[in-house]
Amino acid sequence: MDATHWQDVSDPDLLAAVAASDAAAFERLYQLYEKRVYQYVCTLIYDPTLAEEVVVDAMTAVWRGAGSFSRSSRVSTWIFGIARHKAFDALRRTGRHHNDVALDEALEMPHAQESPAESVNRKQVTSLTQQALKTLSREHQEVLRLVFYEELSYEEIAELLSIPTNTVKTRVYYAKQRLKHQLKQFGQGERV
Amino acid sequence: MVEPDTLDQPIHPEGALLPWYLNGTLREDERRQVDQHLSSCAACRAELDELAQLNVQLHEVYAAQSEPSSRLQRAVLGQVALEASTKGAKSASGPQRLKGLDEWFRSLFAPRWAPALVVTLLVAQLGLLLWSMTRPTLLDQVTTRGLGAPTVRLRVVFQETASERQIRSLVQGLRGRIVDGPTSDGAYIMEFPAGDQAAAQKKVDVLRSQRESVRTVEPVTQ
Ligand SMILES: [Zn+2]
Repeated sequence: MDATHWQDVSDPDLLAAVAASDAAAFERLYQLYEKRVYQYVCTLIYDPTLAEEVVVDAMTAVWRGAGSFSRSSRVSTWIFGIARHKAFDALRRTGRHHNDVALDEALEMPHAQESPAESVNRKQVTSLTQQALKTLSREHQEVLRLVFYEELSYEEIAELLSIPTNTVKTRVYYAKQRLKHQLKQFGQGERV
Repeated sequence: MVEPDTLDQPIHPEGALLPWYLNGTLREDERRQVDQHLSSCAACRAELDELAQLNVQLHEVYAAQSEPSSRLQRAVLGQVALEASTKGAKSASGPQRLKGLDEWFRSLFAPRWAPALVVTLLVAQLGLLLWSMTRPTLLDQVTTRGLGAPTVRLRVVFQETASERQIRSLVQGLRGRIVDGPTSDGAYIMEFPAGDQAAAQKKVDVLRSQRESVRTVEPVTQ
């Protein structure tokens, strides 16, 4: 049986097959999550090579630990939880706790994009948003991704981050305020 | 991280729920509450508009984000395939890594009568072990290819009887890649990450010990 056999199987069922050491089921699960997990890890770790190492650690941990998944949570939240844990391990190990990279890049942010807002094309907006996003703390980037891209509920984020739901709400609120502020700084205020 | 508590807070409790109103994960009662509030609150409607706009922009940023290299998938699936086909590897892979390398190495190759595939898989596992112990994990594998981190190139001739699967798990296990070949005399030039001479020699030793599938191994002089 290859990975295509598992095409339409739900995540929890896939994980159950993985727990029974089905490598093809794992391959399918991996295909579904590789990019999401990698990019999530990249919000926590700015070094792409280290991020890939973390994903290897995390996904092989998913393979070995699939049996411990309880159906009370979503598969995605469970996998992100493992990835997050591995990411923080890696940050501790390599002593890279700080946000230096993002801040450095923020300082290099070109003020040259001085064309009027209406002429700024979509690509530039994306690039400005990307630059603005990079100036945010890891925590802020993380929650924005979890809300807007992964579409997790605030309860799921609270569980994943081990923080109270009220803190999740406040954090997302400030992350959004901060992003809006940065976009304004970069001359994109009119559009947001 | 300190959340500033003097800055503007969402004016209404419903305002704090808007991101999840937008991503559709609110409970039904919460969603109705927000709906109702929005119908009478211009500030929260404006906030929702901003969030919706940001949502679009963020999605474009996330969609444009770099993807992992193809090596990532090979590394993960290679390791999992290895563990899946080695009975008991799931529980054994942890503690075994801590054993003395020499002792483990000998224990692996003592049973010459072991079936070829099993030996190949064990060799591949040894490769992973050597790999993790000398610390050139995926990190080096990646930089190796890009930035000229240390590698060793070997000229390998496989046995004609070696199966594709044997070769693949051997190469994968040693984190190598075929860079050239086959030459007219059937040799492949293969590249393996190796931080120093000793690590390179280990790769050679592992390959040479694998007589079922490897006929000759010679360093490539550059
Ligand atoms: Zn309101």
